[in-house]
Amino acid sequence: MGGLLVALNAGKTSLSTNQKVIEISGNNIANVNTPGYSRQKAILTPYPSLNFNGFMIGQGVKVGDIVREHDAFLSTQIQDKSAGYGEADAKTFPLAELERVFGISEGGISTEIDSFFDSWQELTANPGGQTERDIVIQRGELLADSFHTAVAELDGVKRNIDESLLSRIDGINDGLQRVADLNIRISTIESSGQSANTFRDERDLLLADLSSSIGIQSLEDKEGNVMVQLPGGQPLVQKGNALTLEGEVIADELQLQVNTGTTLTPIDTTTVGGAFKGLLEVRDQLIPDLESQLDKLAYSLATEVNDLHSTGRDLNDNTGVLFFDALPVTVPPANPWDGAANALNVAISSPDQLAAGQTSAPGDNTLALQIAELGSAKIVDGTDTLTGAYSRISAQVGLEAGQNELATAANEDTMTQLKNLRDGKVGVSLEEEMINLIQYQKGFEASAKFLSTVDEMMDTILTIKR
Amino acid sequence: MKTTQTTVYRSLQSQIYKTQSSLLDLRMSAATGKRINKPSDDPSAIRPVLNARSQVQKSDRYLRTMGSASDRLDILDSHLGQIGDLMIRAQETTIAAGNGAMGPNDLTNLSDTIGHIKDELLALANSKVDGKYLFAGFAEDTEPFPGTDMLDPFAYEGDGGHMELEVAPGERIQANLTGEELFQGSGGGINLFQLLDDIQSDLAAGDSDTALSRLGDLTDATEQVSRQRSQMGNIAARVENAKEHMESIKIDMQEVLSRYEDADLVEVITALTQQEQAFEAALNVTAKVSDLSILNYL
Repeated sequence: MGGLLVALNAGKTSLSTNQKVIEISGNNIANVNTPGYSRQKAILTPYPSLNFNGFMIGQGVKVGDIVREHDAFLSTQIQDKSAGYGEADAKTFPLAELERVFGISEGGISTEIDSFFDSWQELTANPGGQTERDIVIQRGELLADSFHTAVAELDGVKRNIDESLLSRIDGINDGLQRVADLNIRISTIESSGQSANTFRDERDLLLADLSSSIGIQSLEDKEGNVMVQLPGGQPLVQKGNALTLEGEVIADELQLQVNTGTTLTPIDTTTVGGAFKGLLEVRDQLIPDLESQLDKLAYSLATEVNDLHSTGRDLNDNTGVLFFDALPVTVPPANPWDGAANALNVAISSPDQLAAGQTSAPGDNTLALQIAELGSAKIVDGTDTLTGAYSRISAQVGLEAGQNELATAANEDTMTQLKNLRDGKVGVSLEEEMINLIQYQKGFEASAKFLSTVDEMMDTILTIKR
Repeated sequence: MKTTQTTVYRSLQSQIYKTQSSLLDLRMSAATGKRINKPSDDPSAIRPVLNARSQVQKSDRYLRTMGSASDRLDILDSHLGQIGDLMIRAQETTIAAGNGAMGPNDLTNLSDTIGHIKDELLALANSKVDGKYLFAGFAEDTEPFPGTDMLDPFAYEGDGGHMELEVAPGERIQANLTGEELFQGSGGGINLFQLLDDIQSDLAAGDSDTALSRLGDLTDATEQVSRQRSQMGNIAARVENAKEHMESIKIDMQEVLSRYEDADLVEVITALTQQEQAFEAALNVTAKVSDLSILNYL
């Protein structure tokens, strides 16, 4: 009878274990679409066997542990590649804006440059004509406007980047704080020998998100805490403590800092990664470079036209008249052309003030001929024409955008592949769960059958004595 | 490796995105007819495109400048023609004075005729086209021979400016003659007004011999005018040639522009059809994923 009771007990463990496994499968199925969820599985262990009349008899089964499927390599890979993907992806929008600013469609700066010199060429055919003179002035104003628009749009792109950075800071700080909180929970739970599966899933997901935003690096210690730091080495999370990022507007520009509690450490492209790096690179490197080239273009245009124009005489016999406003004098180490694009303005308002020739005679077109020739002369650095210099800027933006497009696509592919690998390894497969369901349902059924068999056997024994 | 439902959907989704974005690019190309719609479409083609575009615009401008140069030269030519005719009439009149049968009254008549010719010549020298004096150099708003100077009634008030027009890159043509080179023979020529004035006064004084002795000068003066006319005629012919040349340059540049910028529609539409098929296939497959499930067999 004692043996049968043991068997009854073994049947009970089997019944509840199979039921537990089915519950786990149910939980897996419930989370089939949960991002970052790792499939959980039961570790079944037999109860220790007992010595029974010299035989070791098994005592049934129990769920030893519920663990998540995990691949540290894939998790690290996903975190690392998220930074690259975040960087490329964040650049896409500002670069598309820049492509529009330095577009090559008709009506851009290059068209205005052509039209401006075309109006001078037109003036050569009728240098005294008021209409022709008016057109030159108007074309000059339109050209200056197109430079102003480009500068304003570049500024707009910078402000948009600042906005985008600012709007992400709160989310990042929240993420860092949550990682710190999860550190405490995981280390507490795991110190008691359990597995903190869902908390670990949540933290992995947060780390991947943070990596995509600011390109963090992470390191896990023995107790299950992760240490989070910026690529430059600035720590952000240590055990249960998280630092915060702050944005401060200094001189009209957003400066990002890490608030360490006592000091503010500024961060830039060299110390941050991910989307922030991408955005900061566009804001702090690409746009200033484009601005400088645009300034140089405006500077070359204004100085060359003014140099010639001021040697001529206008219809009122004045000499030394400037066509464009004199550009602001810069103090070294600033370049002489700094700010030229924004300061480009037509200085003269009346058509009479236009100097088309060396004399004030209305038919004198000698100067107009020379100025018209500037349109195809190599006046930018002495090596390039205005149109050429503009196409260089435009091509630079195009190359940058094209490269980024490739990088985004490649990173997207990598991410898809890594996520697929991860899902293949640790994700929930409905087929797998269904098969498990069948398997453990059968186990459950068999246990029940076993129990009823034991029951019948007990009945049989009990009927021996009537 | 197991393939989960999420894997399948993720892969299909990323494929659909890719196909969609290339569909967008191709549709843009087909709609605009342009291969390059933004700088990143082909950064290396930007310089040639912008250059060619500015060349086309310049060619247009040169063509228009040449049009106005031709107009100027045509007007100049007709004026020079009239001046030449006047000089020949002056020669005929002077030769008529050599007829021994001419009496003093006849000579006075001839003198009057020369006077008229001189006045006509002055009027031609002061002629205005489009509100501008034709022979005043750059000073097109100044009457070149106003005759207001008592000491020198034929004084030139214009300047020596030669109106030059650019008809091709770096190629300039002269599109006017100044009053001083044409009528005053500046630089070793003959002063037409002075000569006619002299003949007029000779004839008025009945001195036909002196008048006849100036016939050589008169021939030289006529020569002076026709030489200038043929020079300007040569320029006009050059402009005509340059026009044809510029037209063909413009066509060449438009071809260059088109080669870099325009989409090959056949190619684009073929690619578009291909992508549409790929897209349709991707959608089809996606729709079928859920048809095939273990759940149907349980």
